[in-house]
Amino acid sequence: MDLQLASFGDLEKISTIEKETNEYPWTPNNFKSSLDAGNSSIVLKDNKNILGYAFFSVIGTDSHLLNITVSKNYQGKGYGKKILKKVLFQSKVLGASIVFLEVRVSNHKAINFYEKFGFKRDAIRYNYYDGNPKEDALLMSKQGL
Amino acid sequence: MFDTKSSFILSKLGIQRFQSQINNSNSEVIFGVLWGDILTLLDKSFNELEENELKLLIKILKSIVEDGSEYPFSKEINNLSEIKKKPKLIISFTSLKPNLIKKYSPLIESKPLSVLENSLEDKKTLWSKIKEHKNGSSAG
Repeated sequence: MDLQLASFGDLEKISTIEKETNEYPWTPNNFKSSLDAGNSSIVLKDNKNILGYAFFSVIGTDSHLLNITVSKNYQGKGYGKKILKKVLFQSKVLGASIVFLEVRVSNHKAINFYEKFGFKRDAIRYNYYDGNPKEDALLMSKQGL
Repeated sequence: MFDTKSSFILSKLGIQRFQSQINNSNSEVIFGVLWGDILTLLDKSFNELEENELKLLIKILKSIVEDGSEYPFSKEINNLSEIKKKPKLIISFTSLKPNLIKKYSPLIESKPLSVLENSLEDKKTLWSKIKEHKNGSSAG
């Protein structure tokens, strides 16, 4: 099992996992655009099998976690922690001193997960997520990587 | 009822939705956010902050609070009368200040976040004011 950078060749599998796992999934185009834009990415692979992934963007001293997902079949095994740990490390290596993220306010499981990693609740962005009804986003950040 | 955004848009059009009440300026409408005992005054509603402006605001707050301690969760304030306890510090990122705001000193005045974001000079000025405040607080 190892952590690698995501490549365009991974996007089909990533998109399938995304669709199976997230209620509001990124589209294949979202992933492609993210790579095109030069955002950083990490894929956790077991042989050729993708277990999870993360996309994040580092600009100056700010890192922004855009997407982190573990495939449904592999959840609860600590892979999310492994991926997030790597995101924090890579962000630091790339010069970031703070990592931001947004999460749906209803996603208590994710909020709890981020808090265990030392992310603090900063603010609410109202009606941030599309949908019916729209949902608020909780902005969290972790300083001192 | 008009929400904050509508008020903001109307104000941009030069239409004042809310009248200042001279005898009771506690009822003046503000774009404020309370972070525990720190009040930040903005030039637009909190929800209208661009992502980068919001991040900058959070970083500024993190630089003020004691190392290792947390600031409480944000609470939007649209009227001074909503403030139940005197803030320990006000940071104003707007030139539009309610009449009574000075009674809530100490007050740190700054350029709006949108300006600050792209101006190292203005950031430095703000940082020196924050440093001065922190030194003053720890001395007192």
